Amino acid sequence: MSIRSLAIAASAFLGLMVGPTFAQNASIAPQLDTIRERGTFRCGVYENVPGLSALDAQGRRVGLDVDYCHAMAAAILGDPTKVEFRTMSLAQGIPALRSGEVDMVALALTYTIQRDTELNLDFVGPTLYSGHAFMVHRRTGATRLADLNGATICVVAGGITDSLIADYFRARNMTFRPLAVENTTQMYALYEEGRCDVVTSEVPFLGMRRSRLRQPDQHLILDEIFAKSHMGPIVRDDDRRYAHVARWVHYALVNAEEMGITRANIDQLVRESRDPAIRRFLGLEGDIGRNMGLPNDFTQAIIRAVGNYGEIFERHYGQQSVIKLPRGLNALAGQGGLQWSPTWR
Amino acid sequence: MKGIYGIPKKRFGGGIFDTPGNALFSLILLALLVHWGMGVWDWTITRGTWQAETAEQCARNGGFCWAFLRDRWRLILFGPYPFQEQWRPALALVVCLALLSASVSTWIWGKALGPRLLLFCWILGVPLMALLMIGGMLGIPRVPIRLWGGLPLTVMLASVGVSLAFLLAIALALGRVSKMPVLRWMATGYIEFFRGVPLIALLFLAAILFPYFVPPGWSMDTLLRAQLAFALFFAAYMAEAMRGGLQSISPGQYDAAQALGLSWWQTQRRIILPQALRKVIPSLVNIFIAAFKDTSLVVVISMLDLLGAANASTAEAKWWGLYIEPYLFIALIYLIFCSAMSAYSRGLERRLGIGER
Amino acid sequence: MAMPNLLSRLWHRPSSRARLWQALALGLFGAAIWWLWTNLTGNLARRDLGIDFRFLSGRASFEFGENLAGYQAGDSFLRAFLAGLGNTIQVAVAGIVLTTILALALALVRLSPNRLARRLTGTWIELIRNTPLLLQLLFWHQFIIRQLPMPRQAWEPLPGVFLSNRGLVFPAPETAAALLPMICAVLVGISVALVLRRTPSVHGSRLYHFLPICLLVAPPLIALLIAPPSISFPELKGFNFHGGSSVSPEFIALLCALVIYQSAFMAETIRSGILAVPKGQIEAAQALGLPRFQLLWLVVLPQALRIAIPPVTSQYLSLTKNSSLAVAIGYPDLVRVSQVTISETGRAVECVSILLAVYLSLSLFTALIMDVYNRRVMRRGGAAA
Repeated sequence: MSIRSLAIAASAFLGLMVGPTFAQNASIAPQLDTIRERGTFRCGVYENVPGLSALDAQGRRVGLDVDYCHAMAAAILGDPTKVEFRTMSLAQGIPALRSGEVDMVALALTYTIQRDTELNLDFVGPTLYSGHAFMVHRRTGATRLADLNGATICVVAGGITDSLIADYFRARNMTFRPLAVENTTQMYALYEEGRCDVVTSEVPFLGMRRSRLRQPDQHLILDEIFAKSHMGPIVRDDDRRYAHVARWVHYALVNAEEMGITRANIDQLVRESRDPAIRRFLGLEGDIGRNMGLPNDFTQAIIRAVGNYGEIFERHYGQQSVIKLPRGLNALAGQGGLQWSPTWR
Repeated sequence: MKGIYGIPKKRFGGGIFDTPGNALFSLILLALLVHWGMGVWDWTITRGTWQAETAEQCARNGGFCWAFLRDRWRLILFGPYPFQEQWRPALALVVCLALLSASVSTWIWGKALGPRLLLFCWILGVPLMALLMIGGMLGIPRVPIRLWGGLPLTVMLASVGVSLAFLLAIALALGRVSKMPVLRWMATGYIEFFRGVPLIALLFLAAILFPYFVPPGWSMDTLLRAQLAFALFFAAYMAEAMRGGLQSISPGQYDAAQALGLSWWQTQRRIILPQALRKVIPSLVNIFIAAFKDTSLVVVISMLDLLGAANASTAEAKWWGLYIEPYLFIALIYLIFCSAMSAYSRGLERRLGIGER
Repeated sequence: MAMPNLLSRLWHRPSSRARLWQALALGLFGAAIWWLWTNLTGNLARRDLGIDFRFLSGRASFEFGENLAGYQAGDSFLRAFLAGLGNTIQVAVAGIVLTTILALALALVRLSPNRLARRLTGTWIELIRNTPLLLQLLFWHQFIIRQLPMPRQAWEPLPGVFLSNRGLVFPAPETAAALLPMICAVLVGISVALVLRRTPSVHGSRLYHFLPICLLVAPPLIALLIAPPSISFPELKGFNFHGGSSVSPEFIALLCALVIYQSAFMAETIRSGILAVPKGQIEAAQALGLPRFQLLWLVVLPQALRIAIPPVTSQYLSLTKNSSLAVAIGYPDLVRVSQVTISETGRAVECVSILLAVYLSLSLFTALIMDVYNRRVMRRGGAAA
């Protein structure tokens, strides 16, 4: 082959490479179509945060966040197993979502105005309400928040807890030394070794983690809640249609619980229910699903895959789990909690 | 060679007991060495624990926790690769190491059919390794890339990365010494850029920013992206080493090639590159050692290479709190690989008659 | 057919062929850059983003444990980056000083007349060079956190200096301003020394060798006596030490790992520098009857260091770049700050560009200085010993 033909081939290659770039950048594929074309739903979850996302004894990924990923895949692709999990740390989550690496990030991020308005993210839920509390070594003698002046506090890098603590402490003329670590496992390890005096997290996580420390009775969870927390999965808000789907998948889970639809009775309800509200919700009447760009019976797929919100909660946090957390704020609005769904109409 | 203090290196007792001062110093050193050696013996053997279920039981003896390694060595070596299938990465590793060591053996290169046989083995070996690792054919179950880990991942990142880097580096080095200014500037720019930034920043670039730089919908596993970042990074260092080799070729070689009527390509391929590369083999091996060690940086983008798997091995509550055991274990593995390579590189250096004066 | 002939003539003329190749390479390179660039802008536009560095003036809400720049949560991201850079430079400077000392010591032992010592240092250097830095770093971090006592049981190696798993706490002047008289005194000493160096009458005398020491030590001592800075001593209050100055376990671990790792490489460089000193120099000095220490200090080392300076500089640079591994243990260096800033502002492209730009300018700046230095040495012909 002569050098000349090489040169010609190279220029041709150049032209071919540049040509489609134009075409590709001009069109914007809707997110739903992108996911369907790909055939899998890409979901960012934690590697190992029991309750949210962790591997069970059989090596399956389980957790509340994991179930939201399955629910999304069931709604969009009709198959809850078509999820491609990408495990990531808190600090990696938002960049991964913004770069398009994943379709949804389920890292129990706290819903803040800055994340919503400046980072162009849409929050789903909140899927979990809680509050931030502190755990201290008993040997430090601290029993109240006011005792924590000058303490070294471990936090996870990229979260907002350090700024919440900073606000709280500054308002009370107290100081602290933060130590930001990569993930929660590392955080509790450093805490247990005494590198930090205090560790902070949402209340249910603290309780569970304390039970796993070597001497649980040597650690005290302070009663005071210093900041509220309300967490949920996030999606990008650049495609309204897709963001709607994510939001309404959560509401479908809550709505199903309000209506008493469970994984156990859904088949029977589909066959027998005469209630127009239930029939509308299950996509047997009307065309809510179709108008969203989904199969009309997407709610059925969701409930069959993961059950309603109450079932998910009980599985990963409630009585069926090791955490055994009461529903509390996460009960339905009618039962003293904060979970509710807009009207399905 | 003389010691720099003006005392000949070799005298009575090989420089251990030659003068009274030296003898005293040697005795002190020996005493320290014996003391230290006994400490190690005591810690690993006398107080070492072979039978234990948890880190706490080990801690009671205060020695080395052999029980932990007995329980976890496979996790450290193979990461999250499915337990029943771990013979596959093990076999792939053996094949890979055999091929690599055959490729650097001067004995094989000296034989007439050696290089061809080697090429043939590689052509056979690479698909075999891929088949073993990936599976999905011939009744071997498929294992997704995200489950790869441990030593095979480390070896793969280093050897594939360096092989790709080698090809790129030849082009860069030729560009770096080229008479054409534009090529020279481009190659210089590339080399200076990649040598000027830390590898971690590049790994972040690959892990976080990659999707921004490709058309929407394109996707590549994080592992492959890290692999690419490694290749691009080490290409710059290799190119710089090769430049040294290229510049050491005497101009007479070029003149002779030109007199024979060889084209530029022919000159490079048949005359210049073989000589230049042979001269820089030791530095290339050193870069390979650096690459082998630096693969551990993928830990910061949450991948489970040898170091990542060692970290993960103590994640389970019962082994929690151990760090010396897993770190020493993998340090030993790194040490074996790197020392073997550096011994090879030194031997070659001696044979090529460069380096030591 | 004139055209093909012309083309073919152009093709066979080396200069025009070179031009063609360069144009082609430039075209390919440009196309690749353009492709990446259009992808980037396209992808950003699709997500209603743009490249915009104005976020740097926004308020950062994260805290870091330690920094010299006085950054606090609520300051701008720019300050956060500067504080991160400050932390990087802090560990790099401390690392460079300690590495040089340790490397020099290792190199000298490596060449000492005692074979056992030579072998031992050789083994040590091999051990360190052949294990990954990150592994050593993680080891040191764990070691410090687990083996050092809690603050209440802190070791006190020197009065007022405490070592615990919260780091090293030591007495320090209360404010930087308290050090001002000392700094002025040092500057005065240096300038006097520079003036006297050029004075011929001093140059010849025996005094000459002691001048630097006198002028660098005496003025600060005098300043210390005249205007002693107020020192704050650390004391244990509640959770931790208050007062004094401190460095965190993360800093100590990073410093340990960098110094030990990098000194193993640098020792070999310095060793080959020493071996490269012409034998005649040593023999001449021996003929003059110089004692062993003076031979080393006055003849061998100055020449050896001059030879070793270019490779040593590149090792200083690689130490600085390697300090980026800090991110693995949570020391708030530049990489850590950009990582956290990315998750707070989502400005991934901007933050990574800042990261690359800062390290690149550090490298290029050093390369520039080395270039100037090399030229000066070349001009002097390397003869001045």
